[in-house]
Amino acid sequence: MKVGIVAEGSYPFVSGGVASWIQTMMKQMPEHQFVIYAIVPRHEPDEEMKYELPDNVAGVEIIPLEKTETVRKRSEVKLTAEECGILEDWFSFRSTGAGALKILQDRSKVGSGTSFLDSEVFYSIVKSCYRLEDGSASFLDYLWMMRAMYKPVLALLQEELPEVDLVHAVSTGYGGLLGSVLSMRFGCPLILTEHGLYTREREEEIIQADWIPPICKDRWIRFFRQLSEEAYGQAHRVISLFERNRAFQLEGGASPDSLEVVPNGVDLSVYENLRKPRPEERMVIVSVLRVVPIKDVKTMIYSAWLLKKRGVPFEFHLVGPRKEDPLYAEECAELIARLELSDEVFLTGPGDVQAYLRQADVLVLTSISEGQPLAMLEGMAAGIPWVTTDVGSCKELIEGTEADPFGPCGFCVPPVSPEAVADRLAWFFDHPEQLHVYGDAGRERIRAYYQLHEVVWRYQQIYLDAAGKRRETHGGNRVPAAENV
Amino acid sequence: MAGIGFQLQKMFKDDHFSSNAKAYGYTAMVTAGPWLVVLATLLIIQRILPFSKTADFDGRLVVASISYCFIFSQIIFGALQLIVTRYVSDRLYERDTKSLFSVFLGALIVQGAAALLLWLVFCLWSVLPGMYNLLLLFLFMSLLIIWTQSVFLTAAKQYMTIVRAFVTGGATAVLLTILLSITTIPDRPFLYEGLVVLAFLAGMMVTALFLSRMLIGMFPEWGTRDLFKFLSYIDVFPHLMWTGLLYNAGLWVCNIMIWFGAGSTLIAGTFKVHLQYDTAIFLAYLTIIPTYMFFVVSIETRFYEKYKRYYGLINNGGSLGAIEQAMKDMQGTLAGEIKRLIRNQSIVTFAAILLTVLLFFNYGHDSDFLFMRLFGYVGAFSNALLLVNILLMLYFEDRKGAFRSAVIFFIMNAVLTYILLPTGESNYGLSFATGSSIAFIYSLNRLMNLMDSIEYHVFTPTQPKGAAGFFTRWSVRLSERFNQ
Repeated sequence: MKVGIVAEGSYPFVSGGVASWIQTMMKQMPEHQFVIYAIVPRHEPDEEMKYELPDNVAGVEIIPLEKTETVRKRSEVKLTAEECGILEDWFSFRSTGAGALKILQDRSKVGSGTSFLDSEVFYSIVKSCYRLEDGSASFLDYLWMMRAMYKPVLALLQEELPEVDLVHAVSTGYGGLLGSVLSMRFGCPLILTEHGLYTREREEEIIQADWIPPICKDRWIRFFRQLSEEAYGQAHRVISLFERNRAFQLEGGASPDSLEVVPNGVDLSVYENLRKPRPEERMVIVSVLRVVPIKDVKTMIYSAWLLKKRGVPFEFHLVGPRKEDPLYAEECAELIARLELSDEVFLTGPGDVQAYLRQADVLVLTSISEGQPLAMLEGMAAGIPWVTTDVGSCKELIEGTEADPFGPCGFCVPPVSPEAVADRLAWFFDHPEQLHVYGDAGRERIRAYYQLHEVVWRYQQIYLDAAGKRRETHGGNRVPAAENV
Repeated sequence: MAGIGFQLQKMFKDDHFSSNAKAYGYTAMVTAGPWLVVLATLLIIQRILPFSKTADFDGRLVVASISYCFIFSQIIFGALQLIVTRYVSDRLYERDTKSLFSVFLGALIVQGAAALLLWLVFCLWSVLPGMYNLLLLFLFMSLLIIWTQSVFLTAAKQYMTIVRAFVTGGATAVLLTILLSITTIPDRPFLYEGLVVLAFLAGMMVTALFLSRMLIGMFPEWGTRDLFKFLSYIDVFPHLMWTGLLYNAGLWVCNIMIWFGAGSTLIAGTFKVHLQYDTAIFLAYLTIIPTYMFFVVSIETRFYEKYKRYYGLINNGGSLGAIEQAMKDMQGTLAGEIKRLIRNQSIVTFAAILLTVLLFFNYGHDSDFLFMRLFGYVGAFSNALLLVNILLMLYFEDRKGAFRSAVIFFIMNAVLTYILLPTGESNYGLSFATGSSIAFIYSLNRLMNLMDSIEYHVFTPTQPKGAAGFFTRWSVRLSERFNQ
């Protein structure tokens, strides 16, 4: 089967949890062929791939959101009154669904993206949206916001892409939108896996962004919400990594029948016998992460400072790329210098994770937002205890669900609280005999619930099921797309 | 989790708030006014000449010489008029007054070069004495100078001073001609004619001096950097150049073609003219003076105020409700003002027609001349209002509409004249009247449609701007060469 993976801002150009997951899944399913639809912010010809493409990848389609359309003769917009009505409902968030997307992807109807956004039809849609919303803000700003908002959407919808038998989107947002429209266009099922919650993350960003005028924030939030609804509505299966996110997806409009939880998984054999036999004098703390604000590296550094004040001897390695947000990485380096932690805290850059796991006594993660971090599963598989913040599925991983008998594999603390992190680290220093007790609990939990071959098997079933549905109802009604094509 | 979220920031910031609509004043309109003063001066001189004490001279040569300088200076100036106006208007909008002088000088150099070229061709053809030809070159140049000066001064909205300068210059020319007519001038070939042309030139130079005195205050700097940078606007707004050129060429194309038709005369072996037709058209143009005056009053004040308010609201964060109210207000004012202009001009034109017909029955003339004059009035009526419409389209950045109107005007006049030319003098003027009227009706229709959907056009860049090209490269090259 040919599977199209829709990756927004990740595989194969940006490394991270989702991208690594895609790489692993493709390698684990050699029986399928994959096409990557990589959505990137803008076209950068020399962008280098962070992953070596497995043999079963048939192609990588790069789709820039920001596309400079060459100024050609303006193509005409030919829409019936009924179609204009459908579009107006969609743009004003009164409806979701295939109707509007079907029109917008059709160049013979709306012309090129720019010609549609410059058309009288779009102008009158903007006017009615403006009236429905606030109606007192600067109309010029509103109009330009609308054009900026939908330019990438039209570029995505009108992109010509090679056909596949199954579309698998690994996020909602633009990725989910492209997934929906491809599934409609090719008449094939859409599988949606959400590692985090796109809508929520965008919402937080928008609320914090000071460059968006307050009056426009509401529309941006609703815009991303609508994109998610499109994907939820079109998807045959909506998959989350853990229970908590499943509930959010339900709330976001996904149908209960389509929901499924499939966690991440690791290959236990790789992490066998990695752990060092006994702690040394200096406690070794390791964090595997990208140095970006969402990981809240500064809290980690403050906790190291507090730990030093308590007289605990330790070394703290922050292993991972610093290039993604160089400004933030620079700030972190300055903070380390200012707190005189240069002998204790090391920004090592990307490194061999397994080599660091070999030395580590405790692992730390202080993110302010997470899905189900692969790094945590890896550390647990190696039998090393954790101190993490209570975000995403971290608590579930640390404490286990009600049914599981293994006990905690570390501690969960509230986000942005260096004292709590330092407390827990100090506790491990004071109780070295507990390190392996906690570590073993983590490994057992992985063995029971988070093994890679299990996950792969689940996805193989999901793919087969979707393909079966397609065959059995070819043109029928189980696949929402079929009605519309 | 992955996602492009944070990177989106850059993307939207670029697009956001980037395109503000801008209100333009194509006040160049008023520069069209002064040429009527020059034309009136010519007609008055034409009347004075027969009373001269000097007997042996050809008054027709004087009129033909001045008309040629006048017509061809208008056409050359026409090609640059709107380009320079737009360039100056953009500089003033950016509060960059420092570059004004270099634009002024650059525009003069470009026009001067074109004039010189045309004059050299003329010299090959002319059988007149070299001194006389040289005198014509000076007149040609001084007319180009005053047209160009008035572009800058109208941009500064000094309308009355401009009119005063032109009237003073015209009066000087007329006075000097009267002086010449009562003086005994030695009887040498072309001396008297040359002196009258010199009198006219003197008048124009008085105008130029007056205008210069006002201009000096406008230029804070006298630098000559980037003299020809304004030429790059031909690449950016090619429609503006063609609109100006074709409108001005369209005004005179019928005359030029008729110079080669039945009833035309070769004066002093050099100038082709059609005495009756040229006079008929010159006289007809005098009847549209009211439109120019009313335009300044109604469009530049009443309409412009609403227009500026409308654009101001858009740019300063006005709500849709407020913008729409201002738009309706502006649309109403514009429709009202256009109606008023048409009504006023109709009255004047109708009165002129009536008067001409009455005079015809009382004194009797040749009936071909009567029809030339009547057609002339209709043609002048149409092309005056056509110009109003073209300028209003430019106010709303409908450069394509302005361009098309000018193309129709030029082509209709040229083609109809070509077709009707063989039918003889009785139809002279018919092509001018018909061509101008078709162009006027087209432009009015286009303007009305534009006004109906104006909000959409204001918020949407209707035409992609041209990219840097031939003229941009040459503007840089020429500027550098000049500064070496």
